Amino acid sequence: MIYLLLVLTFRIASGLETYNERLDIKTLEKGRVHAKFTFLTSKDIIDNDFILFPRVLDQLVEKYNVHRFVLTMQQGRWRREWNEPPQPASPIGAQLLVYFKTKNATEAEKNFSSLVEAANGLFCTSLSSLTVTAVSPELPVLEKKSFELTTRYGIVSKETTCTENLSQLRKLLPCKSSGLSVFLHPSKLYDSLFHSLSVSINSSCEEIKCRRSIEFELSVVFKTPADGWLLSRLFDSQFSEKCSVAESSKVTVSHDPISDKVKPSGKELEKGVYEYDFSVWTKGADLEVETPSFKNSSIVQSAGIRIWSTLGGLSQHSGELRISVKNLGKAGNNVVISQIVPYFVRVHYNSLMVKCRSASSRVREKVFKASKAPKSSLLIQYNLEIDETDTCILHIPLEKSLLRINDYTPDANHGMYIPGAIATFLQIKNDLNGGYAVHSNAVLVALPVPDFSMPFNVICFVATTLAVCFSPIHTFSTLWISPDIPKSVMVKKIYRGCLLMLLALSLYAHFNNSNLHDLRRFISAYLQKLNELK
Amino acid sequence: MAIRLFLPKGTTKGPAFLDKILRLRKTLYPLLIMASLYYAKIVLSPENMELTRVSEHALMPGLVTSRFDRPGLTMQLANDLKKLNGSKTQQKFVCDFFRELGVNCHEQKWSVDLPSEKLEGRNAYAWVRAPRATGVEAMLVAVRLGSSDSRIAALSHVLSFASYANEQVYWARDIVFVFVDGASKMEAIVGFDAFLSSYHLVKNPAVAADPLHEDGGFLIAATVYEMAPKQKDAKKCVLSAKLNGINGQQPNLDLFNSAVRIMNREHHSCDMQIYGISSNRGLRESSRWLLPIRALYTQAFVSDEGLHSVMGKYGLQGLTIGLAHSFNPTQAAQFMEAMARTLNNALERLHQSYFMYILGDDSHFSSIGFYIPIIILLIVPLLIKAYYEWTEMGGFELPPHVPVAHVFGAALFLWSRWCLENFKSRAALASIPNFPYFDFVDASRRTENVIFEFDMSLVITLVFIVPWGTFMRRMGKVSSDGAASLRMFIVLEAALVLGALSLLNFGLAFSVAVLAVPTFLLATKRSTQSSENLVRGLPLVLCHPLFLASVFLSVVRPLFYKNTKPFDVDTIPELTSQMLREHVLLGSHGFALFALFAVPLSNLCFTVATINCSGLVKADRKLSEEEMESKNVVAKTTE
Repeated sequence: MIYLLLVLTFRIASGLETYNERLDIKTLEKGRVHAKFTFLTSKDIIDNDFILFPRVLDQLVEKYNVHRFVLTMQQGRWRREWNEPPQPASPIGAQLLVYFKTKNATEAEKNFSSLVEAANGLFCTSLSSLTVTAVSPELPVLEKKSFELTTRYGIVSKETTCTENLSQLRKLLPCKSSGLSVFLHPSKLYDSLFHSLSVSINSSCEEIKCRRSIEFELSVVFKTPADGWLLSRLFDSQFSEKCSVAESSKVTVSHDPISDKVKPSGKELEKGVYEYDFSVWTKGADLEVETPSFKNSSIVQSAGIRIWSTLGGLSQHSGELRISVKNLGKAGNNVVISQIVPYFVRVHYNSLMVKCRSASSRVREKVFKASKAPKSSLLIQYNLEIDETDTCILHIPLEKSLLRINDYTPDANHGMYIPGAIATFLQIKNDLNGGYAVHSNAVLVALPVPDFSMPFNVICFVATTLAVCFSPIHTFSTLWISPDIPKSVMVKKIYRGCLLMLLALSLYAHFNNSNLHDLRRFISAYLQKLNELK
Repeated sequence: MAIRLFLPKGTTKGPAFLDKILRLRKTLYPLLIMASLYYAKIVLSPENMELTRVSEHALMPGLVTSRFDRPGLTMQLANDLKKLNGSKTQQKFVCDFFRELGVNCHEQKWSVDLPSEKLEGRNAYAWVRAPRATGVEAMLVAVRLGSSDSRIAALSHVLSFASYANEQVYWARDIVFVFVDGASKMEAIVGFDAFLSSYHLVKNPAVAADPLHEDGGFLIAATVYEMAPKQKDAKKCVLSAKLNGINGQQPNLDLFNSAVRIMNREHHSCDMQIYGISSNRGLRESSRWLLPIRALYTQAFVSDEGLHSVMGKYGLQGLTIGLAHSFNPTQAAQFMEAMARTLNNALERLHQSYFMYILGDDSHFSSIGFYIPIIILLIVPLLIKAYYEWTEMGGFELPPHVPVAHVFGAALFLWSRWCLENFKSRAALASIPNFPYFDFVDASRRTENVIFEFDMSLVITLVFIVPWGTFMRRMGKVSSDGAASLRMFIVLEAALVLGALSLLNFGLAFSVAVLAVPTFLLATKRSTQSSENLVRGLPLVLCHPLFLASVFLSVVRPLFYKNTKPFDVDTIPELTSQMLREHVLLGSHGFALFALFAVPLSNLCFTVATINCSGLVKADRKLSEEEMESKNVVAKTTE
């Protein structure tokens, strides 16, 4: 009876809250399968009842005046042969993008630092060492959306994602052990080639009615046998029961319609894409895809852009960061390149340069967002128009700083990370829907490192210098006029004689290869002989 | 009873021990040099050296179990490479192999287009990406292309290891495989230098190289693989290690220690050859001194030891490992796997262990703290000499000879570079019609009106060998203080140059100091006899740095290497040419040191050795007479 009442209440409430789950599986290349989970929960904020939508996230949004919150964590690299990376694009490590409703920069700054700590607690991350920058409203970063709001963006290149992050995420899902979340098996998901996790929270209000949505996305690239894969083996778990609160629970499988065999067949959305409704899926049933003759050449390259960063130079003092952008012509010509430059390297604006191979490629706009804070970062943005198949290179000469000893990380000789650049498309061609961004690789800067034992050396040197200096100064300052009384010549002769004897003895011992042990043995033998005589 | 008067604030003289040193200086000079050599004998004895240890604990060399299990692939690759027979290039073969593995592979063209040097080649390179890593770091594996049996063996080992490495997911950093093209060793080094310069986005003005198609992370370390020298006994397991880079740079000792640890764990009976000498003292018949002396020799004079030689320029820690011929394919690849997995463990740049060391054998080394007193003891006579001159002079005067000699040296340096960049091996002096002028041209470009044709390196050598210092003494009158200042300047500069050089290239500093210190002491000796000065000037001609270096190489080299050419007149221009070539192509500092310091100092020695003959003797005599008189006056007044 109580159960029925609960379900009834739940049903009523869920009219205001919706939950959808989806899993897209696609073969990227031979033996490489990409699985993308999407869990979307929405709620109209008209009361304080939270059944599907996590209350804690609502409080987070409310308290820090957040309009949009995007957190991503990624381990491994998305290879360019795999076409477009999952969106929102994520760099290796973690990134956080927050739009605040306030226009007051100081308040946003304060809210952001508190929000980072809150997010650390909520998602079990360690984002405190974010390389943060303020984003100007003129040009967007990461996504095409642009608001007249105060925006903060930060990256941690070294942060790794682990099972703790996934566990925290699962706790925020309405169905933790049913529906598609049964496939969130940590041991399998983290034994993969690529792993990306993102949380996007949106808060929009129209007059008095506000709506919040939270989207969890998880992208994984598995290493599978070359001839195919089985759903249960892919995730090391079997589908048990449907999520009863889910509005929809869909699985799509993209395959090569000519060579691949998919069992059972699903609803064909388009050629080579089957859709399965897992809300009616039989418990224990499996999905099998055979790819016996899959060829890597059958992959159609459709990535819009290729971007990569390289750090050049040999000097401990300076270097050059080169960001190369190649337009592959699939996404458009207008692209914004954003590069965060952390505080430990210095950039002179007049030395920045963009070189393109084609004469018609050009710089449309550039924005430099310098920060006044000593340890915050500079944001360099270039709005480029790049011809199809053309390559542009952004040259950023850098000066490496010698930091204070406390500013170095414990593994100072590992180097410090400069986050990768972000290429964001402004005008997307019809074949690519929504926003599209790509991250370049991060680079490691080998900063000049002080001798960490320097204080010890300084003490030694200073003490030695003082001792050496003190002796003559003391002698000279205490001299007086005195008669020069000659010392006993005999004592000097005896002293010199002793020294000569010692020297002769040492030479004798050296050339006879004898040592102190021999001498000791000889003396003890001699004494023993004397005793025997008695 | 005598009464000695002291000033209230001390004496007017210097410290008593320094006065004593000055009094005993003539005895101290040979004593210190002998003490230095004796100390070198003690310190460089492997018994007195420190035991090697892996300072970076994270490396954990030899603690992993290698799992490579594709010997068949290695043998198949070796057969395929042997069967190529020009059907396709080795570069294409390598790239096809990598593409089949799903790894991007590219070719890089490089060339040297100097009149005297025409080189070109095509490197092949492939990136095995660490799928789960950040990609900010990489390690490099290099091997030379070639059709000889040993080259093919090394190539097939590296390729089969690459195929195995590509399937592992545990890599913390990418592996860059470079297949270096070059018929001769020098060509291959230039080719590898071209790759590294493109990787680090720097330009070598002498070498043109294509940019790379892949983004590379910070290179943590590199290993070059080749096959070790063949042994008479085919079953004898001998690996080899080469460490010396240009300008005396050596890789971090942890890298070498790791290789030795891996060898000792997996292959107990194997022996590691260092500098071509067996490091196992039980097996070695040669003297125990041979290995450390050869370490010094190769550090000083062998710039082109192998591909690893140019890595130091880029701050890259690398060495060449020669795999044993007795290794089967599994053992060879497992050794490479163990090395790669060791470097995969590194958390930071290799910095914990020593960069400056002398190896006694594979388990003993002497660190800089122990061997630097050798050079200090050699330098001290020069410093005593400088102090003596300082105390003897009335006031410091910088004679014009010093800047002139150095500017002249710099001019000769630039001129030599210009010659190499603009002339082939032979130059000609040609007359220009209707003009009473001559033209200095490349012999191959002009055949008309050639008056005289000569070898370019011989001309450069002759220009350097002329004792310009003897002419410089006529630049103006030099006072007694000026001569003393000049002497002090020469010995002080020599001491500073040798001291600084010892921190970069100890082998070179030691080799130079052993010969140069007595030469400088001889050249700067005070004398009032004209005949003595003339006699002193004569051996200075024989003590010219170029001549000394040639004789030294001719005498010392046969001690280490068989079939070396004995010393003859051609050795000197060949040495000049080699130094200049290594400077322009590889960035060796040897020629710059020679032209900017050795030659000016040598010329100044000529000047100072002959300067007393030009009227200074009289001035000195006059001065000494005046001094004697003043001393007599002082003695009388005290009485």
